[in-house]
Amino acid sequence: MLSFILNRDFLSVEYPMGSPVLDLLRMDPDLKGTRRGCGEGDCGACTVLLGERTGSLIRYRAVNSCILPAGELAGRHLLTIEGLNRSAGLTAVQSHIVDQSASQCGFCTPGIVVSLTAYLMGTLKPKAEEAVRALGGNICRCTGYSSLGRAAENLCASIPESPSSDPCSIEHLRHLVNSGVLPDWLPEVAKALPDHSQEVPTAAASDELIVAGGTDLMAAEPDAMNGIPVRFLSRDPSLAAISLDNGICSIGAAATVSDLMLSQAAVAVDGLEEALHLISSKQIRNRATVGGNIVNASPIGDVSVIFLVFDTMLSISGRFGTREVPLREFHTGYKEMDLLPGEMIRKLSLVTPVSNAGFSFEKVSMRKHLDIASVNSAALISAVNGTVVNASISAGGVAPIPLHLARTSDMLEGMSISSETAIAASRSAMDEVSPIDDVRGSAAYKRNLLGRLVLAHFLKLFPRSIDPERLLT
Amino acid sequence: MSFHDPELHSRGESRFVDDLQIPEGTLHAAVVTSSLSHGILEELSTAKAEAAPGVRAVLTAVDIPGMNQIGTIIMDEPLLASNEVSFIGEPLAVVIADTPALAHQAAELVRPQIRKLQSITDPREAFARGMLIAPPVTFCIGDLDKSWEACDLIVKGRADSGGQEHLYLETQATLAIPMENGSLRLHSGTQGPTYVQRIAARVLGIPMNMVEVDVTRLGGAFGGKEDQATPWAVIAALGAYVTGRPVKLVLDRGEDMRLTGKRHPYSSDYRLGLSSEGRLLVWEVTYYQNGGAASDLSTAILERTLFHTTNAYAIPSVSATGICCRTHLPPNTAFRGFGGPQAMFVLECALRKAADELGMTAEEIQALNLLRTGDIFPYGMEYKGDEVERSWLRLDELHDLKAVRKSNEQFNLSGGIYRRGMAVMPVCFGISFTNTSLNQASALVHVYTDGSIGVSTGAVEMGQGVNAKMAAVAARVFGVDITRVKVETTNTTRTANTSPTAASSAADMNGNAVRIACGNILNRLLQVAGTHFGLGDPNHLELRSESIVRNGAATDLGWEVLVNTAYLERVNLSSHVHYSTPGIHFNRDTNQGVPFAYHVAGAALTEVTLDRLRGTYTVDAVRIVHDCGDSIAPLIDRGQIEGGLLQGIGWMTIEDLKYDTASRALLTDSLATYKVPDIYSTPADVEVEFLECHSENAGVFNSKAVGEPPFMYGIGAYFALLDALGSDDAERRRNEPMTAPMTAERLLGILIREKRKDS
Repeated sequence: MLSFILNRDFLSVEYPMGSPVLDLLRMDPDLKGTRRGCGEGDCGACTVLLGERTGSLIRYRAVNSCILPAGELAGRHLLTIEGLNRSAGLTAVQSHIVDQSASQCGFCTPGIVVSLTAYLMGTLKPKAEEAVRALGGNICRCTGYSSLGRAAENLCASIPESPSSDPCSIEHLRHLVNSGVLPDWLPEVAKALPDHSQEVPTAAASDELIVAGGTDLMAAEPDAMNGIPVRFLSRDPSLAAISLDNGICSIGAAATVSDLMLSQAAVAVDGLEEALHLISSKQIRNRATVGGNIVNASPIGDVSVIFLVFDTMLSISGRFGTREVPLREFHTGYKEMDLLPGEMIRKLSLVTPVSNAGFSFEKVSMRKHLDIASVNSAALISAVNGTVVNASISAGGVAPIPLHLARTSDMLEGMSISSETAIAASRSAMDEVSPIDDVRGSAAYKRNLLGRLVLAHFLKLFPRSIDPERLLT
Repeated sequence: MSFHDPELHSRGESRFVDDLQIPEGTLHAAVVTSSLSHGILEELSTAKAEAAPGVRAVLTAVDIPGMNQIGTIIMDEPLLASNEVSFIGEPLAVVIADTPALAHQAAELVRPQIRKLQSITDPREAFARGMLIAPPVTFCIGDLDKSWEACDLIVKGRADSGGQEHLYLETQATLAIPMENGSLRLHSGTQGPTYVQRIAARVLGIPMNMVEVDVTRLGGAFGGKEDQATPWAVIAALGAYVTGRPVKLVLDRGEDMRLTGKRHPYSSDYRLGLSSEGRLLVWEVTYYQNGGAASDLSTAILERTLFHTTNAYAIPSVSATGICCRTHLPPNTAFRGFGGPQAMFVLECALRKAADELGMTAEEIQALNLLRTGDIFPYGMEYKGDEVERSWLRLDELHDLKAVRKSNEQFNLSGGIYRRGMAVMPVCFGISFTNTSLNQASALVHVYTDGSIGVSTGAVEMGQGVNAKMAAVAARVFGVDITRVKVETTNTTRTANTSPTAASSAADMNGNAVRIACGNILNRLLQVAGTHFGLGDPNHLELRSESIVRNGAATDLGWEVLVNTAYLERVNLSSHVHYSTPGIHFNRDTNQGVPFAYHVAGAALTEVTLDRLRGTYTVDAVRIVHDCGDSIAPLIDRGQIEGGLLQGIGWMTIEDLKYDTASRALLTDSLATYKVPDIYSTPADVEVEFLECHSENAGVFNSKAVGEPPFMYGIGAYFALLDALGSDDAERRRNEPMTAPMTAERLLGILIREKRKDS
């Protein structure tokens, strides 16, 4: 039995834990505003809000209901477009969209309303450019987005700064009720949610499927959870903890990309937060986990490629206890990894970079956002007096696994920072990889692109020592 | 009560086909399709599927009671293949089951045996093998031989533009409901309710009056539901007819992308002759259109290509040939612009080449050759407007094109890895269906006794705002508040023999029908008011702000009382009006005539920044001056311009259809692999100015059609990127094959090839 709050109502239903929430919603004739556009989290037409209470704080995040397993609803608040609607008239978000005629065919509009509402629920001082970013996971084929941009701008200008100090507070929800964004019943319903931090994680069973964000699993194999026991890692808050202590950063494997973006870790590494913005969309970052991306073992996984340069250590636990494996040794072949049945990654540990180290992440895909890279690459290079002390470069999409470019990284040590060094690193990286032709580009393109991205790392990290013209000729 | 679509949309309360409450006992259909691109269907065993749980029927070609034929212009497309299969995704059988999941599971059990035949997917190869959908067509004007002799410069080349997935957010969907006595009601997501009605009747072997098609609205269409909503609607109808139960068919996204046709890819050869000062003298072009496996609308689309072969330019001698090639791909179909964009792309390629040869900027050649009033199109029609030149001049006045080029050159001297580029894209697009007989529409207007108004037309709302425009027309004629007007669903029992909502013309034609119908009722109401005031003739009466105005002064006779009075006096409060666009004709023997009611024009300046290191770019700004006539809904029209623009940019840049080289299966069959523009793709700066209206037009209240023309401003993105690529070296621009889309992969390829050449 699945018990949760759907809009205003407490609900207990018999429903398969691994089936998509979207299907559950669309069975109800009164809840047809949440739409199926693609069924794999790539369009945002099915966006809903998922609320969760921890102590006195209640956090709402936009998620794609088409790839949200129903089991994740238990004890949480599912808020759909119908729940946001006022009995008469429009909410602030809706009225700005209508005023700008920012809805044409209207199929995607409810998802856009939910995404903008979610943005306002997660921020104390709305800014237009952030509101636009919050729509990165919502595809509209009609408007060209210009009118949506204007609507977002007017919306943000119309919402006063929140008197609250935490966007997860009841006070902030009340502020949004007063601003015409949320229905007046919402704060009371939210308060009635069970406390997530009091949940007791169920003990692991040997035949269960461990599901982190499930964003890839639900898209690739929608029936994967049919008829088998499932363990949702989001039920164990300890798995999502992120801490920074004495230069050691520890990231729970079930921390979402959004959690990471909001954490001290993102602050500790210059450029990390911007890099994480290039991962998928807001809705997916709200679900996709750091550990999930590593275990997914995609050769192009953004998280893997980023953390490879930090010499990250994985804590893996299983029936026989806990062991540590360097991320660089974790992936062993295409979709193969050093993980036994019943084992799972619990956390990542890394040493935060020293002050003379620069981090860079580069990703080129067909579309800049909400796309899988043709090639991605990260670099962490520390230099003293114009000489490389330590370098680490990684690359995705150019080998069967997310690759630490060991040869290139080692070669750089002791070299002077110069255009020639950048070019040498670029050539070395191109020699070190073995890309294949696929839908993301030809092998030749990917090899060339990696070479260019390595040059881009140097230009970005050492603009004064690198001559762009030299790189190009 | 508001009938304003955007309010319903924003509350999630507007209803699409998949949102309709289904009747009890509704069954669900799944389609079994060919996995080979060409072959002979030798066996189709359905026994396993029939025995599967929840399956009510498995239908193949032999179960079709009428004709197994869904072609509209040319009868060359079966609903369900029975012998030859000619594309991957061609429907072979239909499974009807209790749930969508059971239907899909059973569909997997149908095992077609197909003997593989050679498949051809390249249009030039198809042409070489004589695989044509129709004989080639040539539009010709002027004395070509003489013109070639007069040229100082002749440039020639090849240009290729890719296909484009419509990616309407609502996939193809129909709910078919059996009514009494063998009749059917189809709730279909179609742009062409009459097409669906006609073909369903043909396939079922019943008269059209037994098929009612009702369309509330579409979740986007862009041409993709003009002809290609039909097969899915007819399959659902067949299922309902055979089982006697309601049948629903909603394609999932992957099916929709694999099974339906796209914008036509074109491969073209051109030759352009100019004088030394850059005047265009002669244009010769051959378009190889990749039609796919069946004709669909390809011949009409190719014809519109020929109509737009010279776009916004005056060229005295023209020979343009269109070849509709049959290939083993899903039948390609209508997509915003309908062949016009493909034509305009080729000419712009030639202009760039000529500009480089002459040492002129593209804008200099463009400006010199813009259409002026009185110029003659290659199809013999005189250009009556002046908006082509005025929009260019206004764009130049607002943004100073020379100064932009100069500032780009300045930037590029010290741009590091970045280079800026620009392009101006003028557009001149003919409005009307080029098949003259389609230029008809109708409206049925009822005024109810409480003063509320119902308007039915043949136009289908698909996001373009036609319902809002129809309501605005009715409110304007009656002088009442727009909230009194409800625009009804598009239904074949209320408006019969409708043309599809296409060719940008639905608001023009249906709007004029609404205007006349409302006018008829208004005249009767004014008669009633005249009698009320004891006047013999109501000439001094008007209806304004919901009241009768007499000699310019308000009276106390309000709208509701007037309507009720008219009813009690047994006055007809309804009007049905048929409208046909006047003055158009076209002779297909000579390819001369006046096929268009008028032309829409405009010009756009596109500015890009190219990252020469990564092979990436941003479209920084697009500044548009566009001719909307006297817009009756400026916010809606602006939305059409902005939306069309970004679709056009997508076509030219990131939207890249990829096929498996061996099987020819579509590889980019999901939103994960086929990328359409997102909110980050939209240029930071999109400026739109409406050109001042000086003319009398055929549109309703002097407004102009707006749906398709702005799409072609997006073509500027390709040429702005080319401009940026050529900023260091015009040679690079000259030698690069003209192939769209300009993907990141293609861009880096060009940049790296160039690097190799240098070293």
